[in-house]
Amino acid sequence: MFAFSETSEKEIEKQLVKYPPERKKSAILALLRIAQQQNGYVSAEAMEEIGRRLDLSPAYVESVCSFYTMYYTRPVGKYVIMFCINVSCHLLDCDNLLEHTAKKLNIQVGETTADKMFTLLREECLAECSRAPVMRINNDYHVNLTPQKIDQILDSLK
Amino acid sequence: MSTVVKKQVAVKVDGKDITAPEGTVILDVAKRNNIPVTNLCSHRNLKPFAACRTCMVEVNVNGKKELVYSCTHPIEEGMEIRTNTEETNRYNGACLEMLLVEHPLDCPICDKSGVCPLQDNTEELGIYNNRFEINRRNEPSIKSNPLIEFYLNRCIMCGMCVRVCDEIQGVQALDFHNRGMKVGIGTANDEPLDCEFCGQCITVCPTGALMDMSSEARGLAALFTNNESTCNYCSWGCTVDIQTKKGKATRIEPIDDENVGINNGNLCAKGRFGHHIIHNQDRIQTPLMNVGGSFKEVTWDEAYNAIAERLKAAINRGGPETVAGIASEKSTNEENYLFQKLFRGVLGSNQITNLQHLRAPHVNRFMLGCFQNGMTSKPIQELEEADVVLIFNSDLPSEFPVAGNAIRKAAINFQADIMIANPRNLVFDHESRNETRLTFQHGSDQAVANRLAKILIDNQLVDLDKAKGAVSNFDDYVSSLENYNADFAETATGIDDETFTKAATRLARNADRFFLIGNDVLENEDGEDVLNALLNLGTLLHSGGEGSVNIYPPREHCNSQGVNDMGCAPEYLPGYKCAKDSKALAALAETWGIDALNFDGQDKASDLFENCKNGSINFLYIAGEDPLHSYYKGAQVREALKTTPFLVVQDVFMTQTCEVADVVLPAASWAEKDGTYTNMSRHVQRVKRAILPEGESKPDFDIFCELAEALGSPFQNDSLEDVQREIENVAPIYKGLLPGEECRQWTPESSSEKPKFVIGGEFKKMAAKKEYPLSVIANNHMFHIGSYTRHSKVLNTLAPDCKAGMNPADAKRLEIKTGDKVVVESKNHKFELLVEVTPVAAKGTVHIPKNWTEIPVNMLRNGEEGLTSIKVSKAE
Repeated sequence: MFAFSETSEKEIEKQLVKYPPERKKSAILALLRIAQQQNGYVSAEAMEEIGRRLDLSPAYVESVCSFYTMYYTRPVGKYVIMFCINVSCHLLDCDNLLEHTAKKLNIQVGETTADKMFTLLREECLAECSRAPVMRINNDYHVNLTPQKIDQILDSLK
Repeated sequence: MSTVVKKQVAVKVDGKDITAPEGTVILDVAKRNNIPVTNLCSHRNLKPFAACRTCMVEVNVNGKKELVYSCTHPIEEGMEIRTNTEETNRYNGACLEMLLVEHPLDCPICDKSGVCPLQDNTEELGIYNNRFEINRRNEPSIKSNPLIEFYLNRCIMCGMCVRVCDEIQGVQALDFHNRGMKVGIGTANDEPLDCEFCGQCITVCPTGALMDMSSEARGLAALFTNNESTCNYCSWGCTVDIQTKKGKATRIEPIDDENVGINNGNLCAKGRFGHHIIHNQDRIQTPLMNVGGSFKEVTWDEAYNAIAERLKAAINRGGPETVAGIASEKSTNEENYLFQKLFRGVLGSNQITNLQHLRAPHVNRFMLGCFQNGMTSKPIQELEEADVVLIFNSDLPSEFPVAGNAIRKAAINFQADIMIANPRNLVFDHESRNETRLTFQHGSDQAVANRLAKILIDNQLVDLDKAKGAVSNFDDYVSSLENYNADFAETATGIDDETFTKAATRLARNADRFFLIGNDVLENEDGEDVLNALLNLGTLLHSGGEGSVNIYPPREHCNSQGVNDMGCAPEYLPGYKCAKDSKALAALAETWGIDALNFDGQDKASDLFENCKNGSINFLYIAGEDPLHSYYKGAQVREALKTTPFLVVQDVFMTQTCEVADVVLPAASWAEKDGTYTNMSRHVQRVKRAILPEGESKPDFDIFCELAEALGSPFQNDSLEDVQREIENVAPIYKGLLPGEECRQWTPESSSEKPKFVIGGEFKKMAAKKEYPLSVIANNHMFHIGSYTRHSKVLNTLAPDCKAGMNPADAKRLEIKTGDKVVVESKNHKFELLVEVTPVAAKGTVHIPKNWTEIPVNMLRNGEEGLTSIKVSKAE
């Protein structure tokens, strides 16, 4: 069962007043974010609950949620690493850097470490080509990556 | 047509001058003028989407050339459009090539093969070699629900299933998952599909990614034979394609063409998946005769001779008016016509009726009253362009699902006002922002209609002088509404006056208004008053307002309209001519080649079962009805059928009524006969034989002809064509409409009488009784209608159990939860069934579908008028 917490409810209230009642479905992105903030990811039950609030079917909520890569539909670690694999980063050898990271964390791309600390994901373009290769860990950007730099960053987070 | 007038715009397509309404997209203009443009994701019923990118055309405005996608680009004045240029073909072809990278070429085993736009477009653009590396998906097919197979390897992401589910069906069961290369179609959390099972997603799917699993025969569309016919379930009258393979009716599909029939390619779960009633092991195979309490198989001749003998004996003993017949709301017009001809012309008895008329003779009076007051109502196809739709006490998604499809289209294209007047909180999702819910207390329908009329008058929302001039007893009407002030109405209905006023104001605007009345109206004693209140409301709007009022009588089964049109009612000869009019009788006698039609003036048919019970009927012929299960006075019917000396029942399945008959005749199913049905909006439509009758069963048409012969008075006209000519002659309203190929609506003869309001019937608030505090709302289940559908294994899988819908507040008070078994008890009867607690059920009411023979809802009422009061308790 999924239920919004009191803090979440207050936040939802704030979001809903932004839209006319007959167009409340516009608040879907905000509600997905609130659900994720609360539980770390958006579960199927959470999608159902959001659908109930906004008069949308769970299928519709899932279509929106799964369109955006920054909503997680499964539990993630404390740190989510989003590794850019788009053109500029690709030309600067991001594939090998990603593999290096995966090996260091001892997981496959897309997985979460057993201690629930790290989740490693591929991400299309993080809009930071000038400082490629780039990865994002939660809300922080890490740029001009090298294997050594990655080791340093990961060690500092442990 | 909506009252919204759209400007006409002139364009040139491939050199051809064409005009079309402003806002139409190029692709639709081209399609309607038979100019082929490749496309895969566009459908006339859906909003433009531009997913497939294969419909590019060249557009020239003011000498400037542009390449645009024709499915989203609206036409502009003076636009010159060129299709299929070398350049557009190159672009469109490239997009198609990319789709073919993934699409499997398993055409020989695909249901869509032969009717596949992907095949057509590939051929059209001449793509014989693909320049890209082929990378076909190879995922297993998903069969997690009983009816619709998902074989997503064939999916081209046109999104039509997603859109039809949302825009036209209002359900949103399907949607896209993920994006980019990973995008796919699916349900929420990939759970098994749980929806209205309308199958519209199968209809629109261009490639066979979604398929109908209900049929054993699958594969290439070209191997099926198509038979265009009319659905035999509800009275909406959808055109269907009964597809046969090796002499078996194997599946049913809609005809996805706006010019065919009234349903514009839409169909519901019953219509599409309910075909297993055709080839069914429960069908009666041979004539049966009750010999000493058990049925013995007999030949047709033995059956006919026994019937003829008993008929003659009954007439000799008590006169012709002691033999009576109940015609079927599911037989064709021609069959019903012959049935009343058999009784009136051959046997000399006017004691003929049908179950709807027996229960609610006021429905026909209501329809004729609408005609008299000038409301002849437009063809029902125009519901798609309605401005205002009043859904009055109708469980629309169950009763007329395809009407819902048309209304949702009106909601998208015209932001139509949707008014839902119902005691239950119906789920009806649509995209109109103008919805008014008139959720009234069960049994206060009349007060709702009268309050709306009173507001129209008091607030002068319609031109009162005009209305007064047009309708003779306007002043009487105004004074009859005196009581319906805001307080009275709110107490009676539970609706506040702001809501009433909003609804009345929207009704009064210049609009094309459609009133759809549900069959629930027939359940209550005050049904006649409710219909009259609606007739008056319509008349007020028609005479004092702008636009139009289209109002359709409530009809339940596929030919509930036609059975009355054909004169299967004691008051009416075919074409609603008065059965007491000596001139009409003389004309009919002349056509039928008999000396005279003289009925002795007795009316036993209007209270038929009571007359059977008291012994004034010696012989009863029930052609295709099951009154023991469906008539509201169950116990009276049982008594009546037991008392009647001889009972003939003719049906497709062995019904409860068949069980008590003396002779049972096996009738052919709707797929096995020719003729016409007339739907609730009076469209006369073709029923076409697709296969040969099962076992020894025969079409009702043949049975009546052969019986007339056995009685020594064969009909002169015994071919379908000749009988149709005879009907056109006898009932001029049908002139030129048969054999029904064109699906046209009959127009009533112009009335010489002046419009008038029908006054009377004071509103009495019906309250539940103390010891039985809840009231029953009984109508058809979403997946069932009548009792035939209970023989369909597929529909039974969707809805295996009869469930009583209860409001959460009532359930909580009684400590009942979903899945509990409860005892439902009225003064007359009690039974056990399962409960589903749902906010759809109104407080104080219990909703019980009437389709399960083992749950006889009619016995709860058992002839009592007013609300059917019950109590509910948890079963032991």
